[in-house]
Amino acid sequence: MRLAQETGQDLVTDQTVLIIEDRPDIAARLTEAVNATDGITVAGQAGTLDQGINLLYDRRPRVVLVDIGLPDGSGIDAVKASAAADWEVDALVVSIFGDEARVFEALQAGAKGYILKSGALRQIGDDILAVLEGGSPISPSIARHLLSVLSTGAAPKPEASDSGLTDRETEILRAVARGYKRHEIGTQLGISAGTVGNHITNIYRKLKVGSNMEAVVQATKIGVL
Amino acid sequence: MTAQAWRGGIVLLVSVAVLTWGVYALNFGRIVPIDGAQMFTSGQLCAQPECRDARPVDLPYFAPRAFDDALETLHFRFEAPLEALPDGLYAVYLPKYSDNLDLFVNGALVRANTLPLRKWNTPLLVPVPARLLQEGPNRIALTLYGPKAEAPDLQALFLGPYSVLKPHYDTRWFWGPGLARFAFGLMLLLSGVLLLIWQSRRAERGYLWLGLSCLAAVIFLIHYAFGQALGSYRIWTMTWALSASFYVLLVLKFISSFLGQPPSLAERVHFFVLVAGVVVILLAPPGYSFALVASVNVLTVFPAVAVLGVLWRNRSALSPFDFTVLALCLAPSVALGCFEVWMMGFNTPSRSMHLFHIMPIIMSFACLWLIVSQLIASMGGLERLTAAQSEIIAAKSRELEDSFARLAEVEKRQAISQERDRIMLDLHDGIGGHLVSTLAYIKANDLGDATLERALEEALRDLALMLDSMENTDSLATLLGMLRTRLEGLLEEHGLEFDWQIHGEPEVPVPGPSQNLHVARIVQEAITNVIKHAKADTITVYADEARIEIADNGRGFDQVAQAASGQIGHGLLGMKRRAQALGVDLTLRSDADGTRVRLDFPQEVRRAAE
Repeated sequence: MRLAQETGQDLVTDQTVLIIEDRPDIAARLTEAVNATDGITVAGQAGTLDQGINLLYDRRPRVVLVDIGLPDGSGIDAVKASAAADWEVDALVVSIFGDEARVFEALQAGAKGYILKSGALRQIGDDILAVLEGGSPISPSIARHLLSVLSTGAAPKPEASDSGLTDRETEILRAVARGYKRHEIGTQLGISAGTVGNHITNIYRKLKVGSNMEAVVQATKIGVL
Repeated sequence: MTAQAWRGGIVLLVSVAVLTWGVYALNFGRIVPIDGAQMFTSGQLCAQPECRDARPVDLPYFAPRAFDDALETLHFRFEAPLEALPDGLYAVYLPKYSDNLDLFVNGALVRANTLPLRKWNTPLLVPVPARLLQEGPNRIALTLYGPKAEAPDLQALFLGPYSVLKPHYDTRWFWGPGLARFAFGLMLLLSGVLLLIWQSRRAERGYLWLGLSCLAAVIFLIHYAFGQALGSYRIWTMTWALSASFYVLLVLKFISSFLGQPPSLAERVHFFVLVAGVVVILLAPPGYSFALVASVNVLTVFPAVAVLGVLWRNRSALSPFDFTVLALCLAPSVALGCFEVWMMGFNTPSRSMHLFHIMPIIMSFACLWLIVSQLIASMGGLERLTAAQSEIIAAKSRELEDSFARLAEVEKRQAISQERDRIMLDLHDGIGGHLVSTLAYIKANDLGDATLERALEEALRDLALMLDSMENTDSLATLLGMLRTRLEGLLEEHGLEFDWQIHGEPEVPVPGPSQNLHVARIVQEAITNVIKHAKADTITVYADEARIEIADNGRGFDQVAQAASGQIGHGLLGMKRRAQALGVDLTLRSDADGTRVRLDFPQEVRRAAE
């Protein structure tokens, strides 16, 4: 375990990151990626869910990277714990490929998004920074899924609502689903990349609202929709 | 009232008048000479039973009317000379007299009166034994009884062989009391049936009015069919005569309720006239009863015409055929009523046959027709309703079948989806986890075998592509998006970047997850080729409905030279093979400005497949 002090980064400005990952090599790689990024530093690393939740309350990190398949339970529980925490903490699911079903479950539990552990080191750091700036990492596949789930039964509305997408949100999700990056979408729509990120954060929030959404997701899983 | 309504009313009145005149002119049942029989149109009216004083009279004879309910007794005498004694049975035939009589032939009583029966419209055939007759002069004497108030009358009578007179008697009896008895039975039956129907369908007042009208007809038909008097002269006269008037009121109510009209003024006025009539008759001396009921019945002509008026005004509520039937029955009925009223009031010139008892038969036919017609219409409605319901049931059954089929389909898809998820999870956490772990190990420990590392990375990318294609079975655009996400890091490492231009959802000739995977593999191959060989700094990926294009701004290569030297890469060959299998046109163009791989999806093939 490498603590923030050892990296030589300034504790006051650096945001802390907790890593919950059972494969030591991958955990090491994630740690490397975080520490290689300016502004963030690893505050702790856990190999089990139990340890992870203990460290969560102990270290009170700003960001938690959670692997879903942990030896003693589902990482979703760590996401839930983060969502219920009394300080500001964003949970990010660590996934090899970003598999849809589990990421979706995590998003519903309150995750801010996911990061790919197979991706380049710089990408992992950038994704965490994007979350800290208020955005939410999203993949084309998740975007498409969100489109089908959140548009169901409700025509796009011009004003924001608890569930259902606004026209702008639909536009953004469509672009993401086609593989466009945040800054490209911003350019296309004449808004900043940050604003695009905020929209996505809002969309994620909508996933958590009604229990009927649960049913919709369930329906999507079994292939009714 | 509009001019049209006035015209309609006038037409009605005129047609009723014409019909009444028609009934009068036909003079149905008029008494004419019979071949083979003696007809007596004149005789003597005696002052006493033994006929000490007699005066000649012509037949038909009508006693003077008097406002007296006492019985008038009139003695007539007829001389009947016979040239020869008859062989067979003789008979005296009296087509019309009122109300009862004793008949004597040569002083012998051949028929004694049947008082208090009032045979006012019944013919009489009295057989006369041959032994009572003689050659030369014979004397027929009769004593006629009838209420003074109703002017007893005697019409021409006949003497002749029984066999000659019998058919005439039968015919007249049939049209008179015979038909009245038939009507009586019919009305009794109908009233019972209609009132029973009304019992079970209280809301439909039409049945009540029609049933009651039949009952009213039964009462006056007793008078026409049997001549039976029920109660005192005053009570019975009032009862039978006013029941006819009451009948009209009830028919009016039936027509109104059938047409859904509120009670008309005519109904109310008629009802008060009836009630007032009853009161006056009960208060007045009994001798005035007949004159009073006759007056009320004269007034009844107006509500009877009103029935026609109501019908005429609401003819649009009836089908043309129903209206015709009803009008054709109602108008003659009213005419028959008018004729009867006229007969009650005037003696001369006489019409010897009452026909009013036919009226209920015609009217019942009309009203029953209406009910049957309504029944037929409602049965038609019921059939249509049943048909519509059957259709609904069939449609619902189909829906149910469909939803069952969908449910089965959903279950199947659910099972497939669950199985797919399991396999994907295994690939993801198993192989994927190992690959990532191994790669991380190599990198962390700086083992530095670039070939091994690249091979592992490629395996990881390929696995990712497979998983992505399974996640995104219905969108190639999203699969391309995922591909970009996967390759972005690799591009960055080689100093390349994407110019991403996905403008639409490419339509593969035959859609499906493995087809999508093939296309994605072609695109991936094209991109990795650029990374490996092109020395470019931008890869443009363009897609719309009809094509996908991967272009770079690198140095390009000489296809002909490569092909000739047999250096064409495995990657390129694989791409071509895949494209061919998909039915997609792959074109490769390379020059100094870069290389361009283009996939064209033949749109007509896809449309034909749909």
